[in-house]
Amino acid sequence: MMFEPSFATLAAGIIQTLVLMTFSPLLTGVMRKVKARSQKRMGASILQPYYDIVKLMRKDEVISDQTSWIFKSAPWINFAAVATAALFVPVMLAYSPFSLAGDVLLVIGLFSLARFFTVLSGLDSASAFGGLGSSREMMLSSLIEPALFLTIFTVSLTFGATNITTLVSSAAGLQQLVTPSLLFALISMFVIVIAETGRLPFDNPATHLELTMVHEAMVLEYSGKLLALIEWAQSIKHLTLLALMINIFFPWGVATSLSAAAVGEGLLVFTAKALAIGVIIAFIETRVAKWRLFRIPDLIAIAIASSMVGIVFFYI
Amino acid sequence: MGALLALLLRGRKYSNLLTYLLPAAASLFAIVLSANVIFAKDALHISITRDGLALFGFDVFIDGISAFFILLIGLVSLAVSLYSVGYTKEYEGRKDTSILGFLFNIFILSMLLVVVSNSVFAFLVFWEVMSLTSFFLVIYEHEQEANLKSGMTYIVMTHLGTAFILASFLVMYLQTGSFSFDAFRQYVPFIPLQVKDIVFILAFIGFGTKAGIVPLHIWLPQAHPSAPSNASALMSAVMIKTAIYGLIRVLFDFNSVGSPDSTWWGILLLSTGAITSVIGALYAVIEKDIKRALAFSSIENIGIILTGLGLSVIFASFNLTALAVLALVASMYHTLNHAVFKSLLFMGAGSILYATHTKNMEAMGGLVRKMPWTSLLFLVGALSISGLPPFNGFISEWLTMQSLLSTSQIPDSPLQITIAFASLAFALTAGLAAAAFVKIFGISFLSRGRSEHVLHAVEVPRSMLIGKGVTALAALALGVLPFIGINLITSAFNIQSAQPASPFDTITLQNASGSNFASLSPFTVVVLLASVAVASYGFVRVVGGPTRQVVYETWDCGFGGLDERMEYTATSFSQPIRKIFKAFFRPRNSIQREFYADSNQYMRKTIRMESTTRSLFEERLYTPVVSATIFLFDKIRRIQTGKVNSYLLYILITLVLLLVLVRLSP
Repeated sequence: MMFEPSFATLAAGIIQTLVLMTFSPLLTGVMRKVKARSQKRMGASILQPYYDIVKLMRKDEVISDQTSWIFKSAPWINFAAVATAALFVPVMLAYSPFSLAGDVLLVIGLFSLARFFTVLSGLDSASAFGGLGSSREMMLSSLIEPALFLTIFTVSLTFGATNITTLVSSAAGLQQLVTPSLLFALISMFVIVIAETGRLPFDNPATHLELTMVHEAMVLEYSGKLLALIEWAQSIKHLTLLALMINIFFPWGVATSLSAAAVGEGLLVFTAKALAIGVIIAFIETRVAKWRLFRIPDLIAIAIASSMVGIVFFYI
Repeated sequence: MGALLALLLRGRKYSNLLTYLLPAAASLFAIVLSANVIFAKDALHISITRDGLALFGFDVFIDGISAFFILLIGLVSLAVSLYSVGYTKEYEGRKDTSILGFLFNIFILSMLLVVVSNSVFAFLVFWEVMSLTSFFLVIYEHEQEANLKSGMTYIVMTHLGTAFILASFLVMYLQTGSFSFDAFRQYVPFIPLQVKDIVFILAFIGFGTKAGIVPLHIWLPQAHPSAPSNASALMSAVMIKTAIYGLIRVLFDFNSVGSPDSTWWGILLLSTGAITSVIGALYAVIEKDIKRALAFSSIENIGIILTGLGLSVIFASFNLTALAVLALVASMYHTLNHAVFKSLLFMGAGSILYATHTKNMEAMGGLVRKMPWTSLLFLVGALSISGLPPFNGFISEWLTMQSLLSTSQIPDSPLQITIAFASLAFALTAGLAAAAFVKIFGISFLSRGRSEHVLHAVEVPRSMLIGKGVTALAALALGVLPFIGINLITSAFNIQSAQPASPFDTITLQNASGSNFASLSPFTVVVLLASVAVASYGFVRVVGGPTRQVVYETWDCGFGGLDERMEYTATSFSQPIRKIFKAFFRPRNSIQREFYADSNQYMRKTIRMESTTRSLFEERLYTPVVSATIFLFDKIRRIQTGKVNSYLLYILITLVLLLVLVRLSP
């Protein structure tokens, strides 16, 4: 093993998670900026998401009189689950000290836990908007789950693990860069990342129109600190999924030792890759319109089919 | 065991409290007994035979497998008995509760005796007692016509199943010349392969009917909701597991699977499991009767258990022992988990019924404020069954997923691709189950009450909460410390493993090259979750300062007057899924409009929309069979004229025919 569990690696692991949590709103800001510029708008500063989160944290909260403890605790559970999931995902190192305690299936499980409570909070406020968002979210997630699982299936067959450290280090050590099965898994993963993070054409994060909103409808009743937590958790989830995708499919340059140079290079390369993918997603968002809700299953079906093809390619 | 028997049977004479405390005590006894057998690895063997009546001898044999299921029955009965002390008050004054208590006791007893029986006759007799008592429990509220109908379906289907089990055992008898299970174990190596296949198929159909595999499942969603909730908890949580017990006996005890010839058994189990789980989950999502939804989810979970069992058989047939063990542990862990959380959920549904007198989720809502403890415990059940960390469902689903992912070691690529499709079904099931339970919990407990049923709802009595609390604690313990369950299963099934691990250990699996394939330590995950939550709370508090909360009404777009009619309901919540899978559900929408004037179709006076879904299995499979049978018997009825002279004529004809036959035969 290149990394042995020790105090230094544990610290490095926690630092990379903190990096992930700190820089996640920045990615959101950059994507909004790119989107604005490609629509010939100036757009807000790329630091705007940070200002928003801090501002919301200082604001008072309005809580609906119909809600229960579920509504008040859901953002906390959501945030804790997403941030815990981020602990298991490597960023600039091909290693996560926590991968002995959980694997990529656990990461999915924690995301599902977060979603479960967010959806319940949507139903809790007795508003038709919340129910609408919750119902749509569950419909999408029950289809995305098989797609995601099959993608992991393909990846885990190729690299012989669901343990993320093993996964990323064998991906980093892979000689042949592209195998057909990985290529199909990547197509599927890309669709999943867009769907899971609620970007166009699945969901428009910038809309408050009842015909189109999914995620926004669920969290419509939130304000203040609770809303800040939800927004931040959403950013972290986005970057965590990107980190997973980057380190499995494009692991070039990831640090395989704990030297300062390697870690610095890993961080720089990771930032470049994350920004590149973020820009691509932002461009896609400017190019497509929101799809009709019942057309979206077709896109997820493509993702499922693509990973099935990947599995078949692996076996034959 | 004798004491157990007496204790259970005596129940009827005592008052309500005693009726249920006795089985609770007996269950404790059963738990201790089974734990003793499992960990001391001492099989118990008691024979009660009378000379000349060897056929009716009662032969008790408790090995690890029986003990595991005794533990399961004991654990669930303990919780449900405590719960029943309060729950039966629902029926007091209306019904004879002593009959309910009597049936309840006999039901538990018969299930225990099924899993300890060691001969065909004892097994079948107790199996029948179990079926009949559960039938009487289903029709306990026989005043309602629907309950009688579901009772009929149940008893017909269950006897169909028993017939297949009997046939399977008779084939074994023909081969071994004995009705004793010991003889079955001994002689199986000498039985020809084709006969083994027949035995397996018959047993699979027979036990499958009881377990509720698709398409033999139709009795389950009818019978389980009809029974009183304490009985439905037992039926869903343990009775259908006795069928799994039977399958395991046939698969791993009578037959020792391990040759390539039995691969197709595994494929059959796996594919049936995959289909069963997806179909169960789909129906659970769209159902609006809370107990029916739970019943469909039992079908789904039986599918998951069979998936693991099938994988285990497949791995064993390729001599991949370590993986076969993994899949078997996954399957048994899920059996244990399902018993725990399904009894919890049925008890929760029973509490709602107790408080609101309705099973219809559309009429519920807002119960979280009226019944805080019940809602918390129900939420634990919902999280567990949705397979979310850190609860127990996640562990068994994780183990099953790992078994599915390990198929790369099977040297047969068509089979590997088949298993990949099963994985797709499995993942789809997991997603749909989460949707179903978000709906069940969200619609029944959250938001505004939708009808006057919930207005007067109050928290249920303490005994009912204790019953649910026991299972909720078990769900949490099995989720955080998975080695409690894994040690239990490996000792019960006598699997050679290293030292029993401590409950805090990490589950570690290795890949072919020896590096870490996957590991999971739920305890660490819980610690991490808690510390992240505390850290984030501290951070938010430091950055944001103290919070002032204002309570105000829900945003109504400024129109005012948001009421419960505008909320999402169970039907509207599942509408997107109903629409995506419309080829399967065949929803039929009928919309009737009335206008103020026919010339102007925009001004509507009333609008009424009705949406119904159809059950493909009942329509396409059962209705034709039933009508064909009725047609056939109608024809046969013609010869039964009711006149004595015509019957005499039949006898004469038969006699003549027989004489001719005797004369002709050499």
